Amino acid sequence: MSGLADIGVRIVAAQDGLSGNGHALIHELDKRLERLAEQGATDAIDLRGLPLSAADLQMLEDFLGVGEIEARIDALGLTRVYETAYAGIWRVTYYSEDGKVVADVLEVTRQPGIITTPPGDVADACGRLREALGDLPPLPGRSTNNCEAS
Amino acid sequence: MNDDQTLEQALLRQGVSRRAFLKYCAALASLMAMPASAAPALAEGLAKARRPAVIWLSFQECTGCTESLTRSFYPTLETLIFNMLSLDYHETLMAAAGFQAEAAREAAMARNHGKYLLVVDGSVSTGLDGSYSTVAGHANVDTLKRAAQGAAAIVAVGTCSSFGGIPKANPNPTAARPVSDIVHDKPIINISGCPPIPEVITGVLAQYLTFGAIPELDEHRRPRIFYGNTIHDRCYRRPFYDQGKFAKTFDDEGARNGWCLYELGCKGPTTYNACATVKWNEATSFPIQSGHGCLGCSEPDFWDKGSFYKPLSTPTWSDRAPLAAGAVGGLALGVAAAAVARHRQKRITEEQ
Ligand code: SF4
Ligand code: SF4
Repeated sequence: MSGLADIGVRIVAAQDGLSGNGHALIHELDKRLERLAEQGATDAIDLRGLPLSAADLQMLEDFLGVGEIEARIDALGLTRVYETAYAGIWRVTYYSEDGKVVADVLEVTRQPGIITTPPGDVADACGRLREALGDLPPLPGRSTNNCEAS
Repeated sequence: MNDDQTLEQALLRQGVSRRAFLKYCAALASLMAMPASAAPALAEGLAKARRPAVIWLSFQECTGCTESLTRSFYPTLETLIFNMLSLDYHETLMAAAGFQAEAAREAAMARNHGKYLLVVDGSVSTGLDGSYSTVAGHANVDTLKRAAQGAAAIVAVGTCSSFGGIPKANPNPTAARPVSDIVHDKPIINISGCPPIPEVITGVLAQYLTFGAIPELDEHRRPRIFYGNTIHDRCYRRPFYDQGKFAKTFDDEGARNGWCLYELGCKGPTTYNACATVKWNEATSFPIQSGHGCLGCSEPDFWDKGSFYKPLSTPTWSDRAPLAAGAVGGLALGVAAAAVARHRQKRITEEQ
């Protein structure tokens, strides 16, 4: 093997690794949460688009805490969604099928879009349900199993 | 996928759920540095998009750009992009060959006249009437002119087709030229880089599909969303630059400490590209993170700008805009901060 392993590498980080950007972000969240409370305006912040150090992210996570709800969505890989201790601020982390983070977002909203059932899915589901119902014996006193108009 | 299906219909048919699609759009928005709140609009636009025909021509090139494209970091991203496009002609990727391939191109051009996207990688040889580089007996320069006539827009992928690249380097024996020197009456988007970052290629194509329009371009016709900042603007070694801490050789104490590579010839301050944020090889690293300065590969004539290992001539560390200010500005003052940065970089470039 080459002598590469002999080259000592030492990365020098700022003392506590905090850049100050995490702190600035919390102020930003404060403004956006106020807008959600007063005007119902939703918003989202892409964490990967900001120069945050690992320490900044950790600080942010610790500061925001974990709230009452968590969801895992299985669609083209995992998506993890949880509400932070500050209701209305959600962390949504999207992973690829091989487990890499492809987007990491703080959403300021009452309900992240990825959890909401897409309208087209409701229409499709109604059709599928009807089809499945067709395979069951009809209820006594009814001639068909068709669900009423949705 | 047939041509009049929308993208959403086609994907559903292939078993890609609506949530998966929304997720893909969130990843795309993040990649394109769009505000995260734009993802739902992006999803809505893309879902309704109909796939445009794409004709891809390769001229004087090394196939690195196509290699790059087929290695997007997000496997499903690549699949989705290919689903979005109807790649009617690509010499490297298509199954057909010989007369059959040429016939396929002619047919696709006729069928989609005025509507197709023409993608070009490689520079165009113009010496000896273009006979340095020919395909099926036709000079590249003639093929380009003909294909450009029916194109809605042209995307030049790679520094060769954008600026001439290595074929055009001194003494330019084949009289190589960029696409923009040959075609003057069509919109041209340059995606420069040697090669360009795969996610940048797919990102630009996806953006064109979503909005059906040419993105905002810089003075070199590069999309600002990816080429709006220099490598230096987003470099994680920037705090060392600001403190005046430089590696002087590749194995000194400074290099081991991860200090700035400016004095080892880094061209980051004058190079506009997304390497420092999007990175390479599944976002693993980028040259500076791996210990080597930026070569400036996405800029015109990067090959002829002197040694890769000679520092840029103008000292810039008197200009200590702290990174944190730019970073916080990214949230609230983004536009102003970017304008200041651009002005500063422009000055450095001009002083070269
Ligand atoms: S000169 Fe190069 S290594 Fe130094 S901060 Fe700028 S881009 Fe990074
Ligand atoms: S770091 Fe510089 S030379 Fe390397 S790929 Fe990016 S723009 Fe090109």
